[in-house]
Amino acid sequence: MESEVPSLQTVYLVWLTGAGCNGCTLAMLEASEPGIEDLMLGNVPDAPRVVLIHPELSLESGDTFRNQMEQAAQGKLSPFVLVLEGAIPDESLAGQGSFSRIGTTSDGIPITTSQWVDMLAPVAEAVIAIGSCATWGGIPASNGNPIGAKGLEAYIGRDFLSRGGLPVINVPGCAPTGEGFVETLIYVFLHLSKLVPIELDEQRRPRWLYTHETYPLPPRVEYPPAAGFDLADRPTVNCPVPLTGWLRGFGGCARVGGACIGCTERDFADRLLPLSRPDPAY
Amino acid sequence: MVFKNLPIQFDNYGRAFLRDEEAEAPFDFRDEARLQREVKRDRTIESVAGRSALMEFSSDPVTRAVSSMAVTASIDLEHKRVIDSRIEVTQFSGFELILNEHEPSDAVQLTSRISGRASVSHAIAASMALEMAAGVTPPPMAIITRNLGSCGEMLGECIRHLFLLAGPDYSEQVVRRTNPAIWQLAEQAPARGRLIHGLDTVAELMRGLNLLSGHLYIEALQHTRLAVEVVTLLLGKYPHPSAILPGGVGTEAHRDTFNQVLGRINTLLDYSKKVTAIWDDLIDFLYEAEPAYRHSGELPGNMLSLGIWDDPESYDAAYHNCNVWGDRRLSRPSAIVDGAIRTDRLSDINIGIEEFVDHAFFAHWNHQRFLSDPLSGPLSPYHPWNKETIPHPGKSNWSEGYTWVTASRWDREVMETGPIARLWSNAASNEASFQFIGRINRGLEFEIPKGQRPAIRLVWKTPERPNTLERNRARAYQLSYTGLAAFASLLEAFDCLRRGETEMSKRFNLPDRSVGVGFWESSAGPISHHIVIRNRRLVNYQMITPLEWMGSARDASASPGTLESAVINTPLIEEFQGPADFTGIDLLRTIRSFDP
Repeated sequence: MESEVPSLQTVYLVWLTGAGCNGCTLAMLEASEPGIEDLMLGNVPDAPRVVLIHPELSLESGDTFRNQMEQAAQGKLSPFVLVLEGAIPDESLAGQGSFSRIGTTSDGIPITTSQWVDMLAPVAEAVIAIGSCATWGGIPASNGNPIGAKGLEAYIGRDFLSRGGLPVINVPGCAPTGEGFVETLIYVFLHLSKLVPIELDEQRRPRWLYTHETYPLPPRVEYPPAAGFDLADRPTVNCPVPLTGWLRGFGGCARVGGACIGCTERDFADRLLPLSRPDPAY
Repeated sequence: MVFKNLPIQFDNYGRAFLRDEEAEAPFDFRDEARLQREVKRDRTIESVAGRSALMEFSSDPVTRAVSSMAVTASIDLEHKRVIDSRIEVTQFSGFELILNEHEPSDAVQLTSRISGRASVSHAIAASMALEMAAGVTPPPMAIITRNLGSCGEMLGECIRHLFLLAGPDYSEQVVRRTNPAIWQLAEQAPARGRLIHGLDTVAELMRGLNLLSGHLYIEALQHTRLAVEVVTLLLGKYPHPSAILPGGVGTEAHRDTFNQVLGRINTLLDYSKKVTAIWDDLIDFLYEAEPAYRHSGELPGNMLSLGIWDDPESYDAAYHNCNVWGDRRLSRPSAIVDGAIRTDRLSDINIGIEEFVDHAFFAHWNHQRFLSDPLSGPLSPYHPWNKETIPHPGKSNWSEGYTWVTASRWDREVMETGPIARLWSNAASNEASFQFIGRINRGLEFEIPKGQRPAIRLVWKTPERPNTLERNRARAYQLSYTGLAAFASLLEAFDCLRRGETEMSKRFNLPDRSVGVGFWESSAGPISHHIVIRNRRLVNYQMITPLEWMGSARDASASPGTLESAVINTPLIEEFQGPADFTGIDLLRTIRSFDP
């Protein structure tokens, strides 16, 4: 379907949650220049005013809150951008119950995260997956977890295009920086307003954010194996944090001496976490 | 007396033993009185429904709560009171089950991911459980750095909760609609803390709390970022710090870093002076406008706190010393029943913990690995060292299962947690916790040093009983308490730096067989990680979060969980005609006061 959005004045941002820790919401709130409040108050040049519909932040509760999500699904809140935080469990494994629901039907049947994705994604101007759970499945998709969690792209199909003609936009990281996410959000808005093209890499990540290459690294501690750490066999990890720090130029996982556990990559944590561990058997 | 309901007694040396060594199943439990109370409740609902005065209220989801949660309440419209309530936790992410597949030391990074907002607390609790299993003590500077990072997390959490989550419930946007009469009073009511916060009336203060447009809302959002910077400077990032690990931290002890932290703590301590004045004014006004608010969300005062922020001289990661290092924490542990301390010893608190799954989407486990803890204290088959996580999803059903959290109990009592439990515990203990906190008769005194604002002395008075508004007030005072704990920790850090004690980690080896437990607190309450290691692998990993304490369903004896009980005890003060214009604001305020 053709997008009907020549120049955006107001955009609804519908925030949907699945299996995760709500940490990406915290990260999003950390960005300050601009912050999410600047977008909501309409203070960012060329960006539309954002109306945020978010289970952790909205004033409304219960039916009144869910009604806004239903309106979005029916095309009555337009235009809107969908953000998914958390992985999508395979509800067929939950029998009569559910692993992740937001509300029930009038007969008490759970409305699951995956059903909300089915209802909302096709009518959204753009669909963004924030964090490694929503992009690649993340820790909820680790071995041993019975919930069958998946990332959004794997759930909805790589061919998916939003009403604005965009594939699922992936902003991986556990969590990604709030600054990176808010910047991506603004680019998506500018793209939808046809002011700039948004550039995505082959993994549908904002290209400019994930160019820096690094490796999983153990923390800077008293372990001889950590001192003799060999980078030769390590997979590369694309992440802006080693360059930009975590927030306002401060911090950064390995920059302060902590571990890089490769949290922005596919197959985090099963494949990557062991690579950042000093061997306790040493 | 430590335990009233568990079959455990103590000898003269304080060692726990089973009351009846011969009993076949000493921990079997059935409480007829509690079961009868449930039957009576069901009858009341039937009779109210018979008079067509029953209203079913539900809110799914409960927004401005971090957990995915729904509430259902049966309301008697005639008497405007809540008869019954159910809390459903509607999301399961399966974390405990993936840990068995990983190396034990990965638990720090993995368990942090169970909750963004409590990620520092989980990372520390996991590290402590592994330190206990491995017998390694981090160097003093690492313990101090961990404490400071944890203070940063709690400072952010208190501000976020007071203004972003709970605050909007007391804003002009809400009060004007739900309680027009109270709004009118607020417009006339002078704000007593005007010299501190600069607002003339309570109405102005409520306007400041408006979501997004209020200046107090925006100011709070900006201050949460300073708290996040504290964690980021010391531990790499937040949520999910990168630098915490068993035996220490990866961060290096640079004076610059601690100076940068000091600047931010000073600003936050200054801000806390304003925050307590705002919440005191708001709460005192509401009590005067409508005395029934004193009973909103009232509970009997059963409270649990595991203590937080270790003394670098005392902490040695050993279970057999946990009552010593627990007592030296900057905020002390205790289990309180009916407002009075039952015990302040971590080992007693530990053996009193049980988890029930009777009304949750989990199946019963049927073997008991341990009969006693490492100090030979008896352990229940329901204790987390024995518990196993077996998911068993199904359709929500009040008489069977309806939630994704277990019901955690201490001495089989329903406990509440969070700032009010921590402040209560410190006020009731025998000596002051650290140099900036003083004990007074039924309360605590805070000496907050001069910053941009002058130095002040704050007094927190232990309330008669916990209720919705007192929980919020305690959270405001927790902000000051935490800022002062951070300040005290910084003084210790500078001391270490002067002495050249800059070692930040210790090597460790994991044993083949071991057990461990980490006790910590997030802003919302206790975080405990119980682990069992066999053949250098984790064979059981059990985490209890504040949600298991407060958000639980009925337990084995059908006692409603903490949130359920608090909702039942909430009078309906909202002005409404019938179901059409009922918003449930009083119930939602009560739920949010726990910061679930």
